[in-house]
Amino acid sequence: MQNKFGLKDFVLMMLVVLVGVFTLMNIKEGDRRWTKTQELLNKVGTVEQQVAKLDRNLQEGEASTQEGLDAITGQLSNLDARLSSGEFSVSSSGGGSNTGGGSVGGNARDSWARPGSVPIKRQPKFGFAVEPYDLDGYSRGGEFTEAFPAQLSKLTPVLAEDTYARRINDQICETLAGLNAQTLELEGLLAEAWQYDPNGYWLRVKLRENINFSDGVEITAEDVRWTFHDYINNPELETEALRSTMTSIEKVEVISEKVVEFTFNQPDAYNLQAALGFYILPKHFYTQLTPSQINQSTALSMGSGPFKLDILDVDNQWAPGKDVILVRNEQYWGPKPSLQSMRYKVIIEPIARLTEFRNGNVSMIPPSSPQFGKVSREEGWDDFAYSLNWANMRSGYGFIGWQCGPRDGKLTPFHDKRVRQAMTLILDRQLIIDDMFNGIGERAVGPNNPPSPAANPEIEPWPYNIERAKALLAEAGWVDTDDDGILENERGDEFTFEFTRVAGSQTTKRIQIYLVSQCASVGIRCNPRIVDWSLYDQILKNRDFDSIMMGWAASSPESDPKQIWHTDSIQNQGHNFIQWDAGQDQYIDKIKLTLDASERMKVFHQFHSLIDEEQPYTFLRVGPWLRFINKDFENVHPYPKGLEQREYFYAE
Amino acid sequence: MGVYILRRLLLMIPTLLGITFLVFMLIALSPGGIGAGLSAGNGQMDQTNRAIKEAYLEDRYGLDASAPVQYVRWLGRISPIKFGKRDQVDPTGTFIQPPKVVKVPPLWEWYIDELPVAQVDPNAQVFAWADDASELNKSMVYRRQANQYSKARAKLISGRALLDTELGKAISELEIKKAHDKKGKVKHDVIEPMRAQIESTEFNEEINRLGNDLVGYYQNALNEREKLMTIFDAKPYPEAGFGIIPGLSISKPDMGQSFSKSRPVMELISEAIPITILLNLIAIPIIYFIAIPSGMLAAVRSGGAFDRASGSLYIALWSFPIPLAGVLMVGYMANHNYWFGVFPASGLHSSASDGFTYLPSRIDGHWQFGYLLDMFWHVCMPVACLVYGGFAVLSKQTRAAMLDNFNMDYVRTAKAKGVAYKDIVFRHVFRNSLLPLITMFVSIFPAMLAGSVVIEKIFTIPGMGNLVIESINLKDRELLLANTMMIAAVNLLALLLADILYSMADPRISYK
Repeated sequence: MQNKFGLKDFVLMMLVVLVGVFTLMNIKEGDRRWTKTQELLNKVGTVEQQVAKLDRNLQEGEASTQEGLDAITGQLSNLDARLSSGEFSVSSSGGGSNTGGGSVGGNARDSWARPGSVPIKRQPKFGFAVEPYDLDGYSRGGEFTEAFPAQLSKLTPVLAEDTYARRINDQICETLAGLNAQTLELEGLLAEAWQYDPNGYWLRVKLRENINFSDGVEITAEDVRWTFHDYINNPELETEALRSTMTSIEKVEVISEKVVEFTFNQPDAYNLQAALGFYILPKHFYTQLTPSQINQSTALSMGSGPFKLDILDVDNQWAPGKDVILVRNEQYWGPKPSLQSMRYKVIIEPIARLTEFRNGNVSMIPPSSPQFGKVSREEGWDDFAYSLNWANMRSGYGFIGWQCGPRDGKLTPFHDKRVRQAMTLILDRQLIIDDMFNGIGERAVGPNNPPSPAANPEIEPWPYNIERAKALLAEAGWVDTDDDGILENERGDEFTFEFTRVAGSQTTKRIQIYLVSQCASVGIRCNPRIVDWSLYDQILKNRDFDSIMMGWAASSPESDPKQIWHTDSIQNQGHNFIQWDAGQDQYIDKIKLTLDASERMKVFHQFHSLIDEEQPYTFLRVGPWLRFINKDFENVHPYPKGLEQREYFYAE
Repeated sequence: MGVYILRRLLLMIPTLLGITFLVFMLIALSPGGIGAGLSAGNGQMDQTNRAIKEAYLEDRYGLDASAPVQYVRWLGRISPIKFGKRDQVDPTGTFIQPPKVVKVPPLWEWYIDELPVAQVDPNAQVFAWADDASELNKSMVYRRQANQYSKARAKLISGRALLDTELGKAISELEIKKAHDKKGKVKHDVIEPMRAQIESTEFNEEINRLGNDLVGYYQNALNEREKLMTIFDAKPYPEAGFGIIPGLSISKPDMGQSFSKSRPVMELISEAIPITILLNLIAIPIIYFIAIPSGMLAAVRSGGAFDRASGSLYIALWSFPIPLAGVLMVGYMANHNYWFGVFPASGLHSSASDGFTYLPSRIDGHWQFGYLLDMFWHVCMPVACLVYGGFAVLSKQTRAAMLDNFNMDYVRTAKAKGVAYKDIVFRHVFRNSLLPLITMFVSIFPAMLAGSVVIEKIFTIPGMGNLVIESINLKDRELLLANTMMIAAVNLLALLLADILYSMADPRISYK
């Protein structure tokens, strides 16, 4: 008999395989149930702990109420006794001693402060910019999903540096003080009050009472000290990025349980921000881990913020590629957010992002400029989504930098400020915005732009005026003497320069084409040089360019101008790569030493005027933030600081 | 045959070394060099701070060594045979390496006559654990000293960066040429003989102060290292691998950590590979199951309507660019405003899938997809993108091979002897045409692992393609080398497999 593999055998084999596959899948399903149960059990565990704590608090509260009652009855009976003994005349002097008691109480409240006349900056109670609770349709719950255009690799605070991780951590962790969303002034968050040395050498901070981390443990001064000395400044941790910028803080000392003192190496206007602006992390959580566990972690973020990570477990951390999920911190010490959870999804492709937004799977996306221009004009779009377009403190600016110093030992035509002014005059920046950026954005006026208080409100953007440019060029000695259409100087050198831009961007390419044609119209020859972004660093360090197109991002309403503008930054390959030197140092040094904010702004304005006059950069455009947000969410406001998702609520 | 395979396997080792070395050197010589991605976030940092940060990072990841040295170090780590002191393994599974050597401070001759050596307290006893020292105690002692040493080392490094910054200022004032290397760092050997010139600048006082500080930091770091070394030698943790003779041991290869993501490379790869393999495991059978039968049919009815129609259709699909197809798919087939827009636009799971059961189930009277089906639903469009261009090559290949065989003598003989046409096609012609198809599969397999960058970008799938591209863009040494190594190894193995399969399928080929 032939031993042939027939249909029957095939069916049998398939059945066996199928049974195998199903068994495997069942095992998977069982495993999944198991992990879900474990997660649930963990959560129940924390809830039980909370309940136990609440219970204890309640009992303590009862006891203290009882004590209080006893004390009051005791005093009452005392008073009764005094009344009955006929001490009526005491009442007025009693009033007097009461006021005395008040001031003594006040002193007791400030007993943490350094003695002397250094004023105490008491901070208001922390709250929302626009309170949602009384608005129409208010409800608690709902999930807000934000789409990021780039993959996150890490969330652990301080170790993760990118803006997206920072945005998530801002919901999880808190700093001693933060910027007010509307006024951009520094306001106490975890700090109740502080005392800042008028000479700028020390800062004493009093923490609020009743502030706690998301696991309910109270925040103390030791957490602040530990975060600075043993987390940020721990050379075993990969915190280099922040550590190397915090060199101005010499030490942080614990004065008492709720009071810390910072000591600075030297006075600097930006010390206050640096000291009050880092995340305060829970010592009790991070000291359980080894440095390499923290270094290799993906998401060990814990803090005192309004949200917390869905799962915080060393052995079961979030992995890149999955959504980041934050849930409301039910033990939050401040006003609790209304949303139940926040989800961060990564969608790299812009069209996929928009599609997911249209489908309602994502609540907020950052659209591209063309998308914003086109989609926000669609019919019915305004009923579906908020289209936000606003400049805020994080909006950077684009510019063309002119080489004011020598390149390879030879001066470029741009060392003359009249030439730089002429270059600005021949560029119609409004046209660039309208044509190349779909009309989105504003003309930039200087290194600081509204809404930053550091921008001089009197300065208007330079006009577009070819005639004036020609006059300025002629004044600077650039005249077309041989009638070949190109300007020459006295020595007969033709006006040619090189324009360096980064490869790969359509917009910069169009700006380059526009620049070349505008230059040609006044008799200047502009040769484009297109380079890869990775070469930029070297070009800037070696000052190997005549003019260069770039952008600066901003992270705070007033950034220290020293790095970009000071003449010290010309030496040793600093960021003053245009080698501009026109007496700006007097202002920049003064800015760094002026601790009073409003005084500092005045100097900033003078500095701004100088830059406006000198035009070392031609400032092109302030890039606003663009956002689409689903209208299911209410209380959405664009602020000078950015967006405040903790205020949003889901309207049904 | 066995000898042949062994020889091929042994030959692979130098080939792999050659490939990884070439790739590594290419990246190292490109602008920015290894680790260029690390300085991307510097933005508006102060120069001094930036110099300190760069110095810290260079020290942590050993970027200050020259590229060939970095490569050799990497080889030492991945080699299963280790020389010198053995690593130790802490309870979390991290390799603890012997403390790093302290680098000699630059220009020390300006300040001292002789380099200091580690000072050991002569009265101190030989370090030994207490009898009752538990594992925890030992690790605490080690960790405390390790922290001390890294602090001392950090001081030394930042001191060095500060000195370099001041020297840089003096150099720009004196306009000394060629005192900076390509990365813009001060070349100390150029400056060394120029002390008198430097002393004439306003920076001299500061340079002297920093230089003297630096010598002090160096002494301190040496002392701390010595202490740490004694603790390390007392073995606070179990040693990795097993020793053969002192100074030679065998241990697990350590692929190291990616410095752009600061996570173990193996972890990153093991996260990405299953996703890429899943996509391809679905895509490749689809290609084969459609392309081969249609290629056969086209060969059988060569020149007929089906042949021409399928041929032009596959070529048309093959010529359609994947990025465009992907974007069109997302724009139309994922948009709920269209009736056919039923697919998900991105990712591998829907937001609600965390709460799903693994298999489809009925909850509250509604059928629910379940985690598994939800995933398959999500990979539909990416798989479609992977598949559509693949039909052309394979079906044409089948068709050509079949036609070749149809003209063979043995087919004519079979026809003449009256074998059924069906049997001729399937048993004679098709079997013999399978050879090139088998070898083609072998060459497709390595490409599977490399992933498809474009498709992964469009559909936001965290697979191998993205990982490879990122490692190149960020010039992440460990990740790049591990990826190269893996792709090269799989390619070489696949080539070997192809040769073996050849000889098995075709008795005429033999390797002796």
